Amino acid sequence: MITIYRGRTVKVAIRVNGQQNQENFKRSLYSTVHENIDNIRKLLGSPTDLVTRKITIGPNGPACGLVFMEELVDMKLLNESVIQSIQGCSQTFHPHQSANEIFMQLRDTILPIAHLQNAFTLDDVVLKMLEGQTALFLDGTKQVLLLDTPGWKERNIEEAPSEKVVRGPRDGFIENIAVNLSLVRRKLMDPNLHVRSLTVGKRSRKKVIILYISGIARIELVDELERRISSIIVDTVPETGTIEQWIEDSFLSPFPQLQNTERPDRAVSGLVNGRAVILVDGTPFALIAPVTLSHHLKSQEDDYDRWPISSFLRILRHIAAIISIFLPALYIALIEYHHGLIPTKLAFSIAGTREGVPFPAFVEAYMMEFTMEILREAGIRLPTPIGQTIGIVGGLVIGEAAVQAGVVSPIMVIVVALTAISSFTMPSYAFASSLRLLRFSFMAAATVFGLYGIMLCFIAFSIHITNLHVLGIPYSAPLAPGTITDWKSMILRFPLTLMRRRTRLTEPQDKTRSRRRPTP
Amino acid sequence: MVRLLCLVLCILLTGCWDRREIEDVGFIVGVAIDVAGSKDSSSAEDATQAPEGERTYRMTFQQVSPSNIQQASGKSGGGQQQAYWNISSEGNTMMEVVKFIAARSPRVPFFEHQKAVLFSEEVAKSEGFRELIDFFIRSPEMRRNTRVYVVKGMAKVALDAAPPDIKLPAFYLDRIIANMEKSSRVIPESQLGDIHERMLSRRSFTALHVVPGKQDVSIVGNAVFSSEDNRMVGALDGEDVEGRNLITGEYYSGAIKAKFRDGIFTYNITKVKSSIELEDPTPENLKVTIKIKVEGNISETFEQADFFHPGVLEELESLIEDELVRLTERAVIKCQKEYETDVLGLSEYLSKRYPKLWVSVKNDWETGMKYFTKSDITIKPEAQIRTSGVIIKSR
Amino acid sequence: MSVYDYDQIRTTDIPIIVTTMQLGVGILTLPKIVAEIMGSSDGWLVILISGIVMLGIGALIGQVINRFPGQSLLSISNQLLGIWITRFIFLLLALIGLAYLAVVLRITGMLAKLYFFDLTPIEVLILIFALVIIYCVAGLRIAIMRICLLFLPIIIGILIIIFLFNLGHMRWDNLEPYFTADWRDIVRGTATALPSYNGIIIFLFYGYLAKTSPKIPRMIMIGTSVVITLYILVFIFSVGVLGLYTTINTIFPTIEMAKEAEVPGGFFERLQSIFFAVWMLAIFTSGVFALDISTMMLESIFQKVSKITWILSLAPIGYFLSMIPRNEVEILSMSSWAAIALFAVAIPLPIILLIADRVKRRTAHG
Repeated sequence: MITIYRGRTVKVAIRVNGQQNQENFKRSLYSTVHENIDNIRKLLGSPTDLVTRKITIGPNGPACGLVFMEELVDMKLLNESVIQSIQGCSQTFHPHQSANEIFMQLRDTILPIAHLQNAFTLDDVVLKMLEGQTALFLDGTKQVLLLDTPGWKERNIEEAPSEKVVRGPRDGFIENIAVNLSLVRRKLMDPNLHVRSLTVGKRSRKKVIILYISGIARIELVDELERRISSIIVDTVPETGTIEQWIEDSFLSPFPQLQNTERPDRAVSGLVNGRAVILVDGTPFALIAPVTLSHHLKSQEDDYDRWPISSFLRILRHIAAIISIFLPALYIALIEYHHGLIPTKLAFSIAGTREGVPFPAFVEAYMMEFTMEILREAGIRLPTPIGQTIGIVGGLVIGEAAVQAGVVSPIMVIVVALTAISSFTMPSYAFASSLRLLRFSFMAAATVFGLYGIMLCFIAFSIHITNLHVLGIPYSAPLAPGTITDWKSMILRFPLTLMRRRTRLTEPQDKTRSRRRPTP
Repeated sequence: MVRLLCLVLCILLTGCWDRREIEDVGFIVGVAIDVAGSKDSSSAEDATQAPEGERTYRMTFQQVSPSNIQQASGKSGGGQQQAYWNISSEGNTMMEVVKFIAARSPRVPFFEHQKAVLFSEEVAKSEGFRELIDFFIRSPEMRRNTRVYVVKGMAKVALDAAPPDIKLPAFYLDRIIANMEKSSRVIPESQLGDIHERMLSRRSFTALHVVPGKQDVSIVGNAVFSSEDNRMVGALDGEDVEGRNLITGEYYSGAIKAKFRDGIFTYNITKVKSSIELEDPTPENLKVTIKIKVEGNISETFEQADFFHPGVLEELESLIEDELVRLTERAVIKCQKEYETDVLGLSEYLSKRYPKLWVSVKNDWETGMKYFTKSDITIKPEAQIRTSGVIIKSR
Repeated sequence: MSVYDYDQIRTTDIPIIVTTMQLGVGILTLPKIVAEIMGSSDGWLVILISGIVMLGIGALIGQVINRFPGQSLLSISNQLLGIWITRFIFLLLALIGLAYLAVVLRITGMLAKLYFFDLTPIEVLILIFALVIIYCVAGLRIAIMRICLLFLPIIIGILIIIFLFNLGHMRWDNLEPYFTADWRDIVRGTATALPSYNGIIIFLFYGYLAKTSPKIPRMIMIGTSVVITLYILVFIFSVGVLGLYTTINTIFPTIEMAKEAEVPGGFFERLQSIFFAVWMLAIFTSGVFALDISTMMLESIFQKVSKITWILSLAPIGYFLSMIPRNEVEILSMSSWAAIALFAVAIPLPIILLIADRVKRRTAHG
């Protein structure tokens, strides 16, 4: 396998495991079709989806053999274009042409395939066959032609199920990297959109591409990303999550440092702001790098709607994030330690309703939060019609029953419900997950030291955020250090006419975002 | 790596020494202080040895039973539960009694929601007031806006007196004060913070004077405390309070009645502005003029007249002014001559406008040379009638 | 990655950092000590005057930084004063930093115990606070600057909330009589108020992180002006709401004033706990700077010992130092000694450096 990387070529060989396949295959190409096919069959362990087809060229000509994996190739294309054209062109061949000449003729003038290339090693042939290409052998020559005829079944382009919007394009990435790239290109028809291609994975050879807009994104950023990705040695990269975990700056941090998205418009928005997008073949989730704290609270719709409603929703989301982290911890701290902070009448009513509850407040809180997490996990696995009902039923009924039985106090149910709902407003699922972790830390801090503990925990997390760098950019930006330009779209969303400059976060080279054309 | 170590160490510090469930907290909302040994002392106490010459007091704490607040409709009655529990104990100091209470109560006493401190007149007249109030000001749990009351009779009776629909008597007192803006006799309240400030600056102050009934508490006026030893020296009630309010300008609304020809008319005051002016600064013979400007409406009158006529209005205004003088002179006589305490605001005025003069007289203001008592206070009222209601004559 | 300038302090961020450096434990007792010395409400005048004096110092600090852009204080001082004097001064500063750390730790523990806890031993409270301070100092220096940027809006926010909700309780006549102080009182008062602005000198130690810019002295002065305003407001509100005698008589009048604040509708009662919880952020930054400067000084003198070693050695010393004072009086006297020591050693530093610089230039030419 050949990978082009910075002008150097790196050869990677296939590794074959298992004793039973070691018999008799040789890492070389033969001159006869028959031997080549045999060799390949032995190497692959005689799989049932390996198909071969021999075609004689001309009445007396050499035989050529097509070898491909069933269901990975487009049979229609193969039948109509390749086989038909080979069979139909027998008149053009002279009887005394050498095999190589026939080969050249086939390659250059006969086969109506747009993408074909020569292969020189057995490894190349087999690996490309596994990617859906067809190998064409010719008796009498060691040259092999690889025809690009991919045709497997895959999903249609539909709305990204994990990121639904009310307003905005409804296309989402699918598992095919070429289609994904095309989706991005359709939205960003800019010749400056550059693509760097890598292959990652020892066994699975997944194609990984890094997209960036040259002229906006810093080339050092892209270089660093490339360096990191190409240093990964794994068996397979099933998902961008694998890459994310290998290239992120801090694996100990509870915060996600790269954002994943299924939506092309989000990827494009990242590109335009000087970020790089990483696509991996086989998964619809793309990675946007680098990403800081405030990015996770932004939704794509904010840019499409008008600024008053967008600003309001953003503020709402920030408040929801704060509620989602702090509310249970505050509950514990107030009920257990700082009774003076609660307004008098509320204090009496809480104390009254907690009279018969057997558990202390923090046990209650942990219990209810864990139940909530269990319900949430369960809700994901269940089939959709039941899933919805369980969510509602689980919440209400269990909560009601628990209160009636006197196991938890009604205030706790309210707190947990509010917290759960607030965490659902997060547009980024990864971030919502990390908020859950934060919540439990704050609850632990509140249990031990009340409000003092909550503040110290907050300070500790702030220290963590300010020390964390994502590809050189501090995670706490644009809060700290901040610029007016970045603040315009951090908590509020300023009207587009006021946002002239591009975000300064990634230090883009092209500073202007948008302007109004001067009217005559 | 160091950072991980720090965080892990933090987790090992679990101790939760101060964790206390909210239902285990006994919210004390009111404290009543009486002299011990009076007829009502019932339960036997394990009193500690009283230091030489110190008095014993009986403190009653009103503790809330939170679970009963929802169901209770007030006082104890057949089958219904009280929303509070008055628990008393005797001792020499507040802290001592709090410990006794804590030993008997199923909940830990918690003072952060306290609304009222009530002293009986007997305690207020002794040095008990200033000694016991120290606990309330010093403790970090207290709030500076807790109100202080002086109760005629036994203070603990006031902790039981509340109308049937009010669940906590301590809150009842609070609500009366909140509603006072609508009532006619506005009594300036006294909060712990104010009292602290005045005791520190050696000034006289007042506290609310209340009389508890069976199911209600009436606020009758102000108890006056002298600056010298912070004891109660007397009470201002009814018209004294009105007069005093007029002088100090803390008068929100109220009504004055005066005789008009053959009948009475009521003048509803909407605005009061009072200012003090020093005429003669010689300490032995201070002359002070207090200008009081009131604005208001005629709200009721027995005798009819043409209220659009300026002469009639002038007549009425001068009648009002006479009445104002009468009220204020009552207050002045009471404060100046009888109680010899300056709760009229003169000391504030002097200390702010004439600080040098104040420095020279302040040690002898109410005591010693008694410059306050010797000073000459003249009232200059000015009344203005805005409207006479929607009609001119009713018959 | 050196492409970005994220490892430097931006010029517009300097006022925020300078303000955070100065706000700390001092503001809690400021009204009391000023009112006590002045005996009247003219304390605000004294705060203003001492603030203006410190504005001058701030400008000098900015000048030093601008004359030697990007150079750490060690290198500047080595060039101008020589190695041995530098080492001596640095050693003193390290000790003062430790003393400050001890004061911060102890006061935090004391206040937390007073307002939040009852039975929890103060050693534990101080220990976890110290641990978080260590965590912060063990990170990047630029991260500490960023924390200042994060925390200051919250700190000022709570102050403004306290002011707003106390407006109803404010009695302007408590501030009268006006202008009764004589020049002796003013001088004494200024001397008392000056150490509250001590934090300004901390910026001298971090000047090397700042992006080179001619605006640095101006930015430092802007930050200090914010502090002056806040201090004056705190004083006026404290005397207005609590009264002059109460202010003199209360140990932490700022917190008592927070107690008085009343949210309309009366649903939030004890604002002082929230105020103190937020003010912990300001106190935290003071503690961080104290430990970080101690570490920085010792690192500069003994360059072979790693930073982490210093942190882990100094912190326990600070912890044990914080246990030494036995009661409030000793704590406050320790803190005033530390403040005076810092004032005597550190505040003249920029002046000395600039004079030395001028002398050097003159001898170089002549």
